[in-house]
Amino acid sequence: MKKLTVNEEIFLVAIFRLGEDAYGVRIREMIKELTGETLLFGTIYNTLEYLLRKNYVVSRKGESTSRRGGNKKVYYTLTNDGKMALDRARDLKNRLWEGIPEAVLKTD
Amino acid sequence: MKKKQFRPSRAAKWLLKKLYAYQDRHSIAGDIEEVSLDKYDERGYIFAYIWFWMQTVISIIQYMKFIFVRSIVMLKSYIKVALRNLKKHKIYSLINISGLTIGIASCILIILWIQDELSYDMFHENSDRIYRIATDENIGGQSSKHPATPMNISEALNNDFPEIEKYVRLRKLWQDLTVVNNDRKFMAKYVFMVDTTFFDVFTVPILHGDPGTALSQQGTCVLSRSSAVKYFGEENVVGKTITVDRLGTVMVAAVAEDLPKNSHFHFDIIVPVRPSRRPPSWLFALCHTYILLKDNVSPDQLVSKFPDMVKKYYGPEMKDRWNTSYEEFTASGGYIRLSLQPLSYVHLNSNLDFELEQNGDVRYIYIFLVSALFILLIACINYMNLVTAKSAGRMKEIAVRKVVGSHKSLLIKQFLTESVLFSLISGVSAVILIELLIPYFNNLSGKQLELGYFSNPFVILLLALTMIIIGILAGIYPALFLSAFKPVSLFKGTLTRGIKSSSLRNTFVSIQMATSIILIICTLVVSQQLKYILERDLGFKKENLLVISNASRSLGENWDAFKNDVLQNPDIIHVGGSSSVLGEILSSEVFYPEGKTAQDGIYFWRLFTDHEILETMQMEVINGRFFSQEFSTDSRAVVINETGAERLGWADPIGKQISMVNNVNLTIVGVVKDFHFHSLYKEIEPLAIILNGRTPNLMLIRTGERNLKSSLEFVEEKWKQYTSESPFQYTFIESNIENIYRTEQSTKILFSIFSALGIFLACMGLLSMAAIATAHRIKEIGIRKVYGASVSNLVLLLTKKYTSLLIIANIMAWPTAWYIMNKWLEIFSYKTEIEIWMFVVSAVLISLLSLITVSTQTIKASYSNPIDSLRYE
Repeated sequence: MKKLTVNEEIFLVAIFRLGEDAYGVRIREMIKELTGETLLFGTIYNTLEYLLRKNYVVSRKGESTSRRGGNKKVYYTLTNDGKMALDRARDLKNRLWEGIPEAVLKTD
Repeated sequence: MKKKQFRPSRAAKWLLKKLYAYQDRHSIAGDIEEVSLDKYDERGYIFAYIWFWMQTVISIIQYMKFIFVRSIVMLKSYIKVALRNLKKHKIYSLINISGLTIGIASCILIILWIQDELSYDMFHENSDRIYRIATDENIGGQSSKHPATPMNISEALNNDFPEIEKYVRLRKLWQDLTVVNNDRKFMAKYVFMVDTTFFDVFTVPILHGDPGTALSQQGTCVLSRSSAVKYFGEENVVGKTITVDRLGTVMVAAVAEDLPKNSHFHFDIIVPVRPSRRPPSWLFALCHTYILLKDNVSPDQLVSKFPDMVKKYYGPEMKDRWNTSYEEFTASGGYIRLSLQPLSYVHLNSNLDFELEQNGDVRYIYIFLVSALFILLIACINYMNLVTAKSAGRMKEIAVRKVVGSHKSLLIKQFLTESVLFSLISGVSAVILIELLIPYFNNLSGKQLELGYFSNPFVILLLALTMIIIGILAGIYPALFLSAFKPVSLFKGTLTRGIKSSSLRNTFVSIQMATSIILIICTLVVSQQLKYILERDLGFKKENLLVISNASRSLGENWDAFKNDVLQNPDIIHVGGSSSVLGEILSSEVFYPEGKTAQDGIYFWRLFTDHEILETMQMEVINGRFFSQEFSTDSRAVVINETGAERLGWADPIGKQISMVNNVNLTIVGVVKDFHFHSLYKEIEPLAIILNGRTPNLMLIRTGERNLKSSLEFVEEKWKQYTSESPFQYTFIESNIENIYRTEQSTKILFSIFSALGIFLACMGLLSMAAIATAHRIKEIGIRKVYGASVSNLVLLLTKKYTSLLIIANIMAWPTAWYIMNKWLEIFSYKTEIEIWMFVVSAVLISLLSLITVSTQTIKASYSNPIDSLRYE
């Protein structure tokens, strides 16, 4: 299993946090909340497509609203593979930083 | 809520849908629209509208990026797989690639050659306005076409042709001349007398000296750069002097750049035209005249005025010399017609008498072009066949992949990648091959071809592009075919449905075999003809005959003394003198038989010789006698050849008189058997041999069979004793003859190369076809084996099919080859026969090769394990 890129990790976490409500618009908002960056729509879908192809997430169609001009929403959920990948990423991060106090990295 | 409903641009939505392939998967349009509504609330309609558009466009761009990256990744993986496959089937890959490589290399070489031939003389700035005057004449029953005019043509051109901007006459001094610089001697082959307009008409850069005055003074000359270096060791030799035969001492006024290889003439030394000893005549064509037309003038304007010009200027002299008026001349069937040859026409189309140098032939260009395309086509088709054939072995791999769910388009892309990869590798190998072979090729053809990567980077790009296209084209059929078949049919053994349409393939292979047979026959015929004309009896003995071309100029009065000295050596048998010899220029004149009128003048070629020439050349007298010291009246005697005697029409010409135009009467004392003194392509024409009052031009020495080297050294030693000025320069008549046939020699070599190529490609084609066909019958073979067929039985069975193909190929090839070779032999007046053994040998050779090629496949198949082929029954 390959390591997650930072980008992928962010997306997966965002999707995880959103739970049932994880679709394009919300994901974008969540990422803005988490990282402070407003991503372009284009970038979002590229990554989402990758995640789909790697089978970390699955998509399902939701209801359509007039707000969306008749298009159904597409919701994303983590797969087991996705969950595992996230887990490993978190694990890796913990191991990397284990034992290093926060203060060490703070510069004045 | 604002009053207006927000409607995002429909155009933008449409664009998104169209360009973004899986926008639907993520409902991108929907997401953007949703957010845009918020924007509308926040910032207003216009903002939202623009924002929507922006996001759409950006998304599309991002998508492009995505696809791009993806494609690169995919390509990398395809290439990896392709390379892996290549390594796995090394032999097959090698054969396939080399086939394509050779095909492409040949094609490129031929194209380079053609390009070079087409570029002749085009480097002159005014090349599109330069024309050469050509003469087509029939005088006294003798017709001749040559690109030469009398020197006096300048008078007419100056007076009557305002359409001409400039013209220049080139008078070549036809013998090799000695050039002396201090005490070092050299030979110059290309020496011209030219008008001062030479550098105006032709674009020849002057390296040192003043172009304006380069040719303006008598007693000066212009050297080519290579001549300057040859004579002086350096380039800038302006002001130095050299002494040249027939021209005296001249000062170098300028040094000019050498004319490039792709020019129809070259020069070593040029000097200004000098007034000739004898009054110029309209009836002696001495120079080549090139005309530079003014802009927007059509050559036809001049050509239409030529007939009048001939009547006006040539006419009066006809009356003086031959006592015939122009009207009488034309009435009796004579004509002198002038025409203009564009400069671009000369090299490829003009092959008249007295060309400045040997020209090419446009027919060869067509032949080679067609051959090049043909070769390429065959190479590509072979490639296709081989790929398809090989894929039979890969069926399992493909089937598995399909079953597992490989997308059909993926497979196609995979195969196309392999194909293009092969193609590119072939392309690179072809270039390497060409680089290696070009020196030899240049040697053979006398050209200076090169692949100009640096002069034209587009060439590389074009080549790469062509290779990719070839790869795609050649790979499409197998790719489509392979990805289309159903895996089930492999396991059932009913695959190769498509391959079954073998009639097309059969025809193709037959054609290839036929072509190879034709090529071999042609090679054999050409070799035979060459051997024939080189060995043909020329009417004199050509072995061991030396020609010293500057003898009279160098020895002068010491001719006899030198001769006697040289004859002391027992290995030197005869020494004779002649004004010309086979391969050299000859003069001609009209002779009038006694008792006939001026109308019956007959053109005789003239040879001025001494007494000894008969024995030296071993000619044969068939009537009367040759010149002899005993008869002092021989100074007014003439010996003619058989053809001459025939033309004169007398039963016994001995004792009769013929007269030349200045009323000199000559008595015929003998008739010699016809011998070749002129172009070997033509029939022998009347010849008059006259005793030369002065020393003849050329000395001919016949040596004995043995001790050739020491004889030569002996002669050279003696030569040095008599003349310190001139170098000892000799040629053998045999090599003169070979030189004349250089074109044919090249043709023979070219045909041999083509044959080898054709055979190679045909074998490849056969191999692929055999591979396919046997793969097709693998099941059948398996069954037969189970029933007890032996390997040899099977091989026989399988090869039966090819014999019928061979027979068809032969049937196609033999008549075609015969027709082509007949047409080619028409060039020669003296030709060899096309013999049966040539057809047989070539048929046998090809058959043998074919059988060997095919049997590699059949034997392999026959040894195959029936279990493998019948496994899925």
